[in-house]
Amino acid sequence: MSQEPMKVTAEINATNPSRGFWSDAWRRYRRRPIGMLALGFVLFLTIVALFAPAIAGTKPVICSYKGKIYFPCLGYFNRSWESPIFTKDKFRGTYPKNLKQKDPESWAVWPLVFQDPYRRVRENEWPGRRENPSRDKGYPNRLNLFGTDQYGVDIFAKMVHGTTIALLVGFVSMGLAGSIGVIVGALGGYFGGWVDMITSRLTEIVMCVPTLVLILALIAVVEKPTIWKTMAIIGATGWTGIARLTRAEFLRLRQTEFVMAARATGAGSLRIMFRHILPNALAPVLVPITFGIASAILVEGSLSFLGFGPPPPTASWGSVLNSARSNLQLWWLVVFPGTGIFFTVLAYNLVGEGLQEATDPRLREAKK
Amino acid sequence: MSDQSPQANPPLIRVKDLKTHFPIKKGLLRRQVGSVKAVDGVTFDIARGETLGLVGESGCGKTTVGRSILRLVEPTKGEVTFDGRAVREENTRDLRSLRRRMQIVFQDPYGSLNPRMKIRSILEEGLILHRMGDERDRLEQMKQALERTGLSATVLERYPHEFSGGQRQRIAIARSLVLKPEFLVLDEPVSALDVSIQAQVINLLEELKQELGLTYLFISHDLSVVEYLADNVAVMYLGQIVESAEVNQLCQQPLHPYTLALFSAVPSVEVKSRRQRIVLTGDVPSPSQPPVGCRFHPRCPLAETVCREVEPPQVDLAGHRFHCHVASRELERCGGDVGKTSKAIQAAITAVYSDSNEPYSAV
Amino acid sequence: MAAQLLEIKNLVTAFHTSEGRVPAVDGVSLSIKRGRTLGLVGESGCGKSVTAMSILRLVSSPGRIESGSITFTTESESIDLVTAAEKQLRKVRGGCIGMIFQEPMTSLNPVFTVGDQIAEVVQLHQKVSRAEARSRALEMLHLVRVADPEQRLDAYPHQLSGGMRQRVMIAIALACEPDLIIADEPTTALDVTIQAQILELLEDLRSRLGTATLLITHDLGVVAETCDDVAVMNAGRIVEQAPAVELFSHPLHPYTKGLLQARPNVDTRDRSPLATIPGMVPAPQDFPSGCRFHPRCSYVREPRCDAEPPTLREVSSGHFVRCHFAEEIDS
Repeated sequence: MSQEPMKVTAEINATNPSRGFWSDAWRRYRRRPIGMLALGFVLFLTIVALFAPAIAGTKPVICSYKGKIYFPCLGYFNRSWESPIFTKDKFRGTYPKNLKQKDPESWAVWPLVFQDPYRRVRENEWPGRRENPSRDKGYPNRLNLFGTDQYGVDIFAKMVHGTTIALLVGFVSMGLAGSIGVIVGALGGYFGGWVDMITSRLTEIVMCVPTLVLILALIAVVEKPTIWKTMAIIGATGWTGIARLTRAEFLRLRQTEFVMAARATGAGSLRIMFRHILPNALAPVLVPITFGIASAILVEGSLSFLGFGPPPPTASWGSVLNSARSNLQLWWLVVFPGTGIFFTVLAYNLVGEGLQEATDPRLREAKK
Repeated sequence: MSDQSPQANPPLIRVKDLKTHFPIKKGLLRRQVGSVKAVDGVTFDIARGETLGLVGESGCGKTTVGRSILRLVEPTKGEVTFDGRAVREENTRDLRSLRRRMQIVFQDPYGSLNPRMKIRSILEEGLILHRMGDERDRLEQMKQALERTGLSATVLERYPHEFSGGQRQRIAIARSLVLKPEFLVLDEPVSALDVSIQAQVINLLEELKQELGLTYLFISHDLSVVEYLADNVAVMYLGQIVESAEVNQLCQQPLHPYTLALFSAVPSVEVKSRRQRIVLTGDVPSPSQPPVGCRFHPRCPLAETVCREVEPPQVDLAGHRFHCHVASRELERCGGDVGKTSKAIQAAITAVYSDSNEPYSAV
Repeated sequence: MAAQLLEIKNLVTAFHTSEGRVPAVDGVSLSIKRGRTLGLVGESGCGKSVTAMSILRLVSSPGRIESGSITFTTESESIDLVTAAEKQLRKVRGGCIGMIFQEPMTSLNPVFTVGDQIAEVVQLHQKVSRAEARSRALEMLHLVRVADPEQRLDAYPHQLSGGMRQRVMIAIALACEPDLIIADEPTTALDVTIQAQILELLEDLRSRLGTATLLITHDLGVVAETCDDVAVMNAGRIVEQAPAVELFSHPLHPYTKGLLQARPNVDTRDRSPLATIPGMVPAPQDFPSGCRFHPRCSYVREPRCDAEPPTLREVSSGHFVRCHFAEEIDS
């Protein structure tokens, strides 16, 4: 038998492009049409959230005033982003008339729907338009696509701008919960011993307190409940499931041979935890984080519905539901935010499921 | 075993009475109720450039011995000396630099490479940790190591799952070589591979040893591979070495009944290599409760009263060492002739089997 | 009683994955005679396990038996297992053909006692009471030489060692006195001294009960010591088939020769490099054209080996080889 050079072995499979774990998972995810649909919906929501002021608002998207170009609509994101010149010139938030009056040369590109999420649109604010109806007369019509609430504030605008909050709630709170959970779980799972005992007991204590009660208590303690504080509180109470899962993954991965090989090479604990174990532990942990986003949206909605959310005039879907509480005959106050929450939570759950299937280790490593 | 003149050729690895016990903790307060004595008093030397084969079945502790030497598992007692340095006493920083010189290749080619890291990162890690050169040097060293193991540099940008078992083992070997070690623990490196690939990797290991002057501790349950690669062989059972000798000696003139049983159990294609099959009764016992006296006595066809009570002392016959009451007595009777003794033991065992009924499987 | 117990003709079992059709078993023909042991040898990925699973139609999707026939001849009748109805097949499984798997820990149900698991097979195929099934289970434990069988009957799998679990698996396979046992790598996961015990047990049972055996393994030594006939598989096809004595003394196919030479044995103690088979086992998606072994073959002769797939032909009495140049290589 000949002794062929062993180089022949490596050339044989040089044909396919190298696929990392995530690109492989993405390929598998793509194959599920429902998962893609859900992801598309989430993307759609993100676009709506990003472009909210351009979709519904009473401030021009872009306008030329006294020779300069401005983007007043950004004021919806942050007060200070609206140029001070409009305050100086006493616009008081009313753009259509003032622009034409104070500078005949001005032009403006308006949002698709001229409505405001925070206040009732007044009579003739937009030339020729009457003021927003309220209460029983505020059912969905041509100008108020989703109707108005009891004060006459347009619901469509509230829904559009509320999308930003809906998405932020999920990401911010789960970002916080994820970070806390992963660190607590990693420490307990990797070091074991008394470190594990402390982290496990801590996790159990936080887990045993009923979440909603804990959240309400924290909100009561906090001085000015803003949406950001609510998100942080939801995050600070929602990390326990993630911690337990991370701990289990670290316990398992700690025993693998590649971790021992890293130690044999001379790597220290921190390096092993974050460079070796964490990338392998991440996939199963992302799934509950995705479900957590859905759950955070529901929690925020519940809080706002009960009246414990951020105070008006914050536009969130839950706050619309809150208005519905005392005005149940205004069915549009229930249907539109309810449907919105339903589909958003459904979409996140489907994305989570799809992610779980795409990253399932049992489908991955096929032994030859 | 080559330990005649310590000054002339000091062994690279010296292990003395190594014990590694794992505590068994039960109860709410996790109190220690016992221990798994995975390694319970192991002694051997390995000279530079030699291969020591460590054989035994599951639960005998051979894997733990390899890992204890490198302190990947902390030994409980005993001495481990590497090139004169007491491994157990090194602090973390010195141990890290020592780790560079002693490396390990694991059995499972699917578990020993991090699935989320590219081969490049896997190979480079050691070089980065030990600050061996800048980026370009590292790339050069990695390429060399890969070439030595028969792989091209294209593997660097790929992930472990894209390779077969044999290729992954080569990558694992390259990973250990890249640090230019002197000593390599090979923990069943070919057991998980197909026969045709095993041969390739075995040839590779032998080649590397000659080229780079490496010293190997080759752990395996596969006797034919150990016979082929090793200079000296030690047979382990339940945490202890029951017999050790230079390879030809051990294979042609084994003295311990367990060694005889082990060799005879290996099914062989060549009719002439087949030995009278000795089928031991019972299963491999658990290392948490080793039998009193000679640990092998519950399964030994030649067990006598003394074997059940007293641990057999070591007998050293010019490097051929063993622990067995019956064998040492027989050796005396044969006037120190190892060959005769070996045949006598073999005959005694065969006699036991031919008059007994089919052996039952005990606990 | 017919001598031919099981006859596989041109079996093709393929997996339809997202990456295409993978023919794990690609035209395999085998026959097992009553009371004989056939060893099916090959390296990982060659299709031997899939062949075994196909016999009892245990191949799960995306795998499917695409063509071929598997004729099983009992005392009363002859059925084609590929096309048989589900009900008939269930009678055969366990009743006429028993199967032993490689991993005894995962093949035994951890929540049932071993006694229950053996009794279950009996009850599925014979109309007996629970008590009778239980006593039959006890009988089986005696047969496979488990110590303290009365106690062991109520033990759970995790309480037993690997060797004992494998004995339980053998008991389950033999409980209904099948005509054929399919053993898929029965000793690969066991220690070598335990393997010796199990092999001896299987030999003993064979001589006592006269059961035919299909032994699937990658270990040539095991085959040499226990099998009457041998078939060597490579890349989904049988490449050589002969009585064991003939095959090991006179191998004809280059792959068989290569496998035999690649093992370290007493004669290579001089440390000369082992004779290797270069290259790797090809993945089913990348089977070479022509002869599937030709890229690794040291006797390869272009262009025939690349262009034309060889057929399995009888080179000498009872000795079949799939190679164009078998006779020339031999001389």
